[in-house]
Amino acid sequence: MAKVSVQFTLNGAEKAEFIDSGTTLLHALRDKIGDTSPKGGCHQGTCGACSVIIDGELRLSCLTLAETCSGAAITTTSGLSEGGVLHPLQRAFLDAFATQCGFCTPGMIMAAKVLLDHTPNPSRDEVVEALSGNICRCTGYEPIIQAVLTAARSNSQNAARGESKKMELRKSYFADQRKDDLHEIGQPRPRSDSPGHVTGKTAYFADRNFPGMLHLKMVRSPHHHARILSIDISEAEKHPGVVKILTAKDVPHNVYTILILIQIGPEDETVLADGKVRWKGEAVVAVLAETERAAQEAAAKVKVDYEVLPAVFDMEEALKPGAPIVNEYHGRNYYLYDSGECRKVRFGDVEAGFASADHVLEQTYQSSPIEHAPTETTGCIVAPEGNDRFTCYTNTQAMFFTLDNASIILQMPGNRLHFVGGTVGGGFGGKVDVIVEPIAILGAKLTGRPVSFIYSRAEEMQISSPRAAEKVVIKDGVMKDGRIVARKVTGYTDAGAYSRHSPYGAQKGAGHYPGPYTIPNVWIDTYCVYTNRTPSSAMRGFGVTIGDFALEVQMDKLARLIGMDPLEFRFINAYRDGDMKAHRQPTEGAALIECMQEASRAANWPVAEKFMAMSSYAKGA
Amino acid sequence: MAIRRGRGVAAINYPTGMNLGGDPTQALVHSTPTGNFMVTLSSVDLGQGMKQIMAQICAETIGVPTDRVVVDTADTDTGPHCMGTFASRGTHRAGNAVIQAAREARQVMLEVAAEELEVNASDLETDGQGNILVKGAPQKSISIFDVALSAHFKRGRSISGRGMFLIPRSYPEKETGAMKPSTCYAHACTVAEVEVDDETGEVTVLTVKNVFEIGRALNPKMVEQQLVGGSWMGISHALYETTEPYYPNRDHGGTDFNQYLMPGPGDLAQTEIIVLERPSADGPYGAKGPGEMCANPQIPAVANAVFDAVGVRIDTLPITPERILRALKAQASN
Repeated sequence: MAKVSVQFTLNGAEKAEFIDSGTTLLHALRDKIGDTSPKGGCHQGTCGACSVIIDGELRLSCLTLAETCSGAAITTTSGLSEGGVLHPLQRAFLDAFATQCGFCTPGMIMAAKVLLDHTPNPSRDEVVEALSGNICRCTGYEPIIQAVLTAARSNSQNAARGESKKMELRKSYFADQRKDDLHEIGQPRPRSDSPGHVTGKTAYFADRNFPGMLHLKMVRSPHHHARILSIDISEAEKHPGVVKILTAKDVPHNVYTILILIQIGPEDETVLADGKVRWKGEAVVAVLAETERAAQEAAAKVKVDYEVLPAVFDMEEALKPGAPIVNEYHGRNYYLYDSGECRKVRFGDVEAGFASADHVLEQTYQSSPIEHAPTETTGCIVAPEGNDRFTCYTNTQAMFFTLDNASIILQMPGNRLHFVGGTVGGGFGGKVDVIVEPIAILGAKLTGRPVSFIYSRAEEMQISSPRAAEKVVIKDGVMKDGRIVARKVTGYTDAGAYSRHSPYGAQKGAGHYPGPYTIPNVWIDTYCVYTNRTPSSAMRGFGVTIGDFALEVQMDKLARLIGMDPLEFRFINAYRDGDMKAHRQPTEGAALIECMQEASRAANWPVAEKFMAMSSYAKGA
Repeated sequence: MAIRRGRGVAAINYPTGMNLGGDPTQALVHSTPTGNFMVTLSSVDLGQGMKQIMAQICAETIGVPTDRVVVDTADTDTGPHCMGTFASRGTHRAGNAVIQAAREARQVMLEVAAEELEVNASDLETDGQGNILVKGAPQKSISIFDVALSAHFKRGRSISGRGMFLIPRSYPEKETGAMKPSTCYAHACTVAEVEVDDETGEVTVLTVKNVFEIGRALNPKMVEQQLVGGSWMGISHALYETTEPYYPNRDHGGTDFNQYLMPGPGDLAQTEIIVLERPSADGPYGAKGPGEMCANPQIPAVANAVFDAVGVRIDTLPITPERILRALKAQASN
């Protein structure tokens, strides 16, 4: 590849580099010069994490060719503080607690700096406009907007929509159960990690660059369900820069399941597809090459012959007799619990409850898969330590969980593996699957070289596990006076093609229904269903979030059905200390009633005095 | 055609820690001869601030300022086992382990101080500023720095402690489902106010008032961070997000941030956060896990508000303009 020379100033210092023609400024800054403060969140110009300032203008370094920057003056967040003194924007981000994972922070600060350089006293709307090209998944943006306004010392009187009050602690509730005599706990201490975030110095796993590092790219299934007739890697192997190509036969223990560590089997997923693919995007062949580009180009030269098979996408269809079997390791399109085809909860007599009810309402709720969309994509970098040990720098949410699974998949004793994390650029449950690490470690072992395997943004969006789609059917019997006397819930979790964490999530739903209400007759069935789609897995609120949507919309419908205020209806049914739950645990530490009382006040949603006088403490107390 | 306003409420609870338990976490604490304390873990900080919270928990337990504690985590060579950062378990599980380890270290520290001061360890207390005092006679004191030096170089003691927290695993009874899913629950109630344009189907969330009960706010500013961000994500889930917009049809899945929709900084609801604290019986200083549940109540609250505004129920997430318009059309034709 043609080399070009490029010369510019970076944060005031002269830089001159020889780079491959076509290298992005982001790669040049991070991998050649070593300024890792611009982050690669998407490499397609949609997240803003790579933002830098070029000759006074905000630019996306992932879409800027380094060779076009000769003679330019480039500023990055790492160059903002002078002599150890933070720039006012950096200070303001700290003071406003405007960083969480910190991955978007350097880009946010760049965008804000350009705004303030041009508009020293911006309105809130101008701040919003300036930040609108930068994605944050943690903060909800408000603290960032406040930080920029503070840095501008702008006393915006503009009470536009979106301006929010500070959080309030209501100490009057439960004061008898709490001693507020602590020194460090309960104090709003500054976060020790934030200074690293605002200066771009926090090290994320990808902020490492090892000499001779290889890049791994996956050949993925273009079909939802297909038999693999043949795989031909001969052309790909000849592609310049290719070092190693891996197929199923290279993986020591290719069929695995992550929850085997807590005895939830069977092993049902392949690291690299063997004989069949069961979802569009499934990993088939891993290509390791000197550059990302070579790996990508070689991957396109891998020829896989498929025989397309009928696929099933709808959970109802999947559960019908005669439906195509998604996953032979289960032999049926649902997970078989020790309790049978579903996890069950039986409490009281639900049919008798319906028979005695004034009204019965059955409704169906549905969700679609949801992506965690962390600003930092899933990935790892593996470095051989030279002593048959491998250090895996990873953004997994669970170090030993991943290490133990890698040990099984690679048939490698755990003491050969060293996992190092750090700050993760957002997880939300999306980084608890064990996907990138085992194959990258295998690549490092077989080549003796460091290996980087980092998801593209497109892979993060469509290949990494989403939150499962769920279908929830709720049937309730309710009395005119507001008491729910029977609740039957049937929940379906769409696991996609493999289990990952879904059998656990469906089971968690069974433990959560019928919600925070005391109902004498309850029947719960939760199913984990297999379909030919991207395997789903854990996400923030796993097993509960969609159930709560269904339960709480159902509560609204029930209240309206009997002509009762929806908030008062919830007070009538709210659980309190000592109430027996459907899964036969007495309620402890309830606080639903007090939350609703405070919401009634805060939202000016009055309820009858008797509800405001209620307590979660044991009835009659 | 008009802009219609509505409001909705939802109330929820959420379990802390892995469903059914059985998810251990360990921690180690030791002092250095500088009088600082090191917490060693393998838990992962995802941006929620686990390192800071563990430092505050350790500092509170030992009786030193938080900046005297350093947290080393997410390294399997140095940190003892942790199940992982998920299931709202980090603060609860790792926090309990840190407390146990810090108590053991504190006990050794007080024993060494007692030898230096020639009193009983039970007669000593910490002042939270880095000193150990004799109860009732605060003029008789020794700095923790001096205690650390004495322990290491003079008395041959290791000021250190081991911490472990495990809720034994519960196994559901097959037929009845009798089980113990969790030992403590956080709570929330949200009221959302929306405007719905019945011509375009577009929903604008005007306000969300969130009340969260989270056990104990160990660091109120960090709690606020999570709750504000979670509330935003809940609204985002309600109205925008999916990788399969026509599920179960597999087409039209977004592959970037232009196609995968989330509210931007110009689309924020006015957000109010109120926190109640009912300490959990088994949480570190009463804490529960607020990180996940804070994104749940907005979804049904917004759904209920949309119904209140335009009189149609959208029972499929996300509640898109298309779904609202189709429902309005169906309603009009009935």
